[in-house]
Formats: sequence, structure tokens, C-alpha cells
Amino acid sequence: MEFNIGMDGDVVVMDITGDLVASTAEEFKRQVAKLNDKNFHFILADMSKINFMDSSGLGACMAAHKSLSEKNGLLVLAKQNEAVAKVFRITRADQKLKVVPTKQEGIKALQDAIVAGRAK
Amino acid sequence: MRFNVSIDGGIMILDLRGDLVANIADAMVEQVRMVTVKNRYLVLDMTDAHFMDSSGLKACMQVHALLMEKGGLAVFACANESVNRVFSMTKADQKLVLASSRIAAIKKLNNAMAGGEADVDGADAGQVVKIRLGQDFAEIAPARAAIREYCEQRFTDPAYRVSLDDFYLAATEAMNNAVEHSGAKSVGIAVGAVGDMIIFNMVTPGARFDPTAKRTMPDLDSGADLPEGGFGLAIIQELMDSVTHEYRDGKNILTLKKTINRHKEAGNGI
Repeated sequence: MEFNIGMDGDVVVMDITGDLVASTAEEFKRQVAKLNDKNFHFILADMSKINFMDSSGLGACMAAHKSLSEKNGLLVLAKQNEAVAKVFRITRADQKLKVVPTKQEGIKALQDAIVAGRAK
Repeated sequence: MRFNVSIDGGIMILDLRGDLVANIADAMVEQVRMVTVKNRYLVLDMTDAHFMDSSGLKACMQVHALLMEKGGLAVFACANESVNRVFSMTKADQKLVLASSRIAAIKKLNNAMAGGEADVDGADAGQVVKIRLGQDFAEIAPARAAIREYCEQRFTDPAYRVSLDDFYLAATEAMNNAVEHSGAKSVGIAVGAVGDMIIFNMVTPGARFDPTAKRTMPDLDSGADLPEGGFGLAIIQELMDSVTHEYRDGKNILTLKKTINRHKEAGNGI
């Protein structure tokens, strides 16, 4: 599994390549934890290059969502292929985590969340 | 009460001479701990025992857990009716691997040590892919790739993709469970097609684990933290046409079946 991490304004953009499964889920959680520890709490995960995801991968997304939420941050998951989207759909995780069709929508959602956080 | 340790055909055997009761239970567990330092398969020959109390039962459960932790297996040879009744009354017989004689126990253990031989009944000869899975999540990706290659040769039309993706996911969840929970060092898998149906058969040595009991998706609306696990079995049930489990000779035999249908619009995800 490979992670390509960049910034778009205050938003971290994480491009993920590879399968998000039992053998790689911890790696994903570690990457998010590292960013969270460095006070990067608004992360867009571009999932377009994840061809396959199982329930362990879903669990890792849940854990990442939780850890960022605890710091008043947000995880947005963008560009899922049909097979990945189905895992979220049948478990109803798509109703609990922020899932968007495009990267642009994800960045917009994160920027709005940052502005809303500052206004509090 | 005495213990006697021997080797029969490469199998470690611990004979119990007498009844299995409170004053001997801890000693038995300790004895097992000692003889299994370098072994993870054991026959506990209890055919001489005519009585077992709850402490003895607890000791059997501890022996079972001890060997499972090592990725091995204990088979309990037990011929006495009253002892067997304790196992059945407490439903321990659904957890422990029992045999009616020492010979039967050795046979069961030999089968378990050999690992599971999975197969798909009814599949065309030479048309079954067989995979052996070790105790490592990293082995699941190549196993899934082999299953995918087999399926895509059989079902070439892209319109089958949605059905096949469901099958790959359910098979992966089943393999995840075997690696994570069974403790088995060697799991046998066979995948084959019968008509338009793909069949996944997995044989996992070890304690009984029945994944076909009704599994519902974790509740995401409970107000508590979102769950990070507990989805795998529910996903299998959701996506497969049929999920069956059988426990035979110390092995779990799981069979998943999925009819592969064409989907006009595979969808683009979101």
C-alpha cells in the first residue's frame, strides 16, 4: 500500500494506492494517526486507486474517522469505485462517514468544516 | 491418579489413570503445559476415567485453550458415559474435540495436522483451484488473486463483475476469519464452478467455529462509538446465496455459494 500525501490549503490530501484489507489496515490507521499527532485534523482520502477493500479496511476508516473527530477534525472519503462503495453501502457506513464522489467536493466539505470550526 | 506420556506414530499422548477431579485438575493442566513446550498437538487419553467433576471439565477447557493458543489442537479420547454426559450437559462437546477411543483420537489429530483438504463437489474435473493458506494476513492477497484469475477465466463477460466482486469480498472475509480466529497453521481452500454458481469451500482444523449463526450488521445508530469490527460475517451472509458450516473430525468445513449473474449497469460507485 502506498500513500502520497500533499496539501490543498489547510486540507491534507492523501492518495492511497493498493488494497485496503486486513494486512494493510493498520498502516492506514498509522498514517492518519501520524498526521493527527502533527495537528493535521482535516484529511481527504482519495480512494480512487483502492481496487479492493474488506471489512478490516472499513474498520480502519471508522477508526480514522473517530480519531480525527476527537480532535474536532474530519475525514472525507472520495472517489470510491463500485466495489468499495458497496462495502460502505451494505454496512450503512456511508451514512455515518463523509463519502463524496469527487475530490473537489471533498476539499470543499473539509474547507467548510475548517471555517465552521474557526467561527465557533 | 497418574499421568503417562508416550508417543504413538509421532503423536504426543497423555494418559490419565483414574478420575478427573478437583485435586488432580491443576496438575493435569501443568503436565500438559510441560509436554507441549515443543508440541502443539496432543491426545488426552481419558478412557480410564470413570468420573469427572466441574474442576476436571475446567481443566479440559484450559488444555483446549492452551493448545489453541499455540495454533495446535487437543483431542480428548473419552469412552465413559458419565464423563461424556458432563461434556454434553455443559455443551463443552461443542467446543472441545472429542473422540470415542484413543485410536479415533489419533486419527482425528492426524487429519487435523494434515490440514484441511477442501474440494468442490460437482465441479468439472481439473476445474477447481486449490489454495493453502497459512496463518498470515499477507497470504490472503495472493489467494484472492488466484480466485479472481480462476473466476475471470470462467466468467469473462464484464457484466458479471458485480456478482464476482461480491464473491471475492465474501471469500476474503472468510479467509480473514480463518487467519484471525482459528489458530490453524494450514487452511485448505477450493474454489470451483458448477454451472453459473461459484462455490468456495474452506477447511479449517481446530475448534468448532460456526459462522452461519445469524449475524447482523453492527448497529451504527447505538450512540456509542462507531464499531471498527464485527462486519465480516454479516457481509458474508448478506452477499452469498448460501452459507453452510459443518464440523467433522476436528475440522470446520465452510461452504459459500454464489450464483453469478449479469448486471446491465455495474455502476460507477461514488
